[in-house]
Amino acid sequence: MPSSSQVSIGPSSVLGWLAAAAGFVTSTVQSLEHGGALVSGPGKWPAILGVVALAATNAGRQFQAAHLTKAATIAADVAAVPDALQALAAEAQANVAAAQATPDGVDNDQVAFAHDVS
Amino acid sequence: MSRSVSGLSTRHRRQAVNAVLQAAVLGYRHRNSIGYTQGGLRWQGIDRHRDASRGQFPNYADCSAFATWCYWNGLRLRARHSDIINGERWRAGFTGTMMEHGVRVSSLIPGDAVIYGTGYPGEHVAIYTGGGLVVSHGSSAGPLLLPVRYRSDVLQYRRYI
Repeated sequence: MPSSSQVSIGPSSVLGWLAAAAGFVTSTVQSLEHGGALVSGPGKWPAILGVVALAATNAGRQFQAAHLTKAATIAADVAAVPDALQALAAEAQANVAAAQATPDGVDNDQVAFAHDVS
Repeated sequence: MSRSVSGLSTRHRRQAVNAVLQAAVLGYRHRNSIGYTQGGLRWQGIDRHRDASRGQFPNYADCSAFATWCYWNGLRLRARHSDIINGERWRAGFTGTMMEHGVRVSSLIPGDAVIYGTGYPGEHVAIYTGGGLVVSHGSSAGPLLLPVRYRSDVLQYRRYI
């Protein structure tokens, strides 16, 4: 997947890191007080929830990155469409003479437009 | 995520633009069979449901009717979209109504319209195909592939999709 430079530190990532930090701090303090491990004892749920929140917000960032990358490359994707036309560039130059020989009609014919809508 | 002018998703936008370009190129390929008129027959492509994906094209059109037919192939046939080109339910329009719709842009991508003239309501319109080229149906020569600046009076670029 192409990377996107448009994804930076945003509210979701800040919330994720804060949630994870809060969970770990709570867990650490409680484990020190009670002598338990980080993912066991009374502080395990804040710690686990913090890790889950971190994973979820980072998954969201990856999703956002994929969409932003897609939007940023619309023009490039579409620009690739008319490759076949590029081979006709020489024809286009030759057509200029034909266009000059039969000039464009003026397309501001209000009478024709009124006919269309009547 | 940014939205396209038409509100279509990225995938549908790409499909619509491809269909517009397919119609424009089909017109160019069959330029000797497409006459020029500003009369009622100019809407033949849409009236008779000429589907470019089936190799069908109008036998008559003028510049705006041909451009609208190209957009109709992309927006109406591919995306079931309403008439955001002229705002006339795909039944009418000219460069003036085309200038009243879409958004004006400063640089071209394939599928945009190039409006020529010296001011509103414009005098001519062509479909940008990429590579500095347009397909323009402005005369009895039929739709021609031409450099964007084959006319010196480029007025504005507009994006609809």
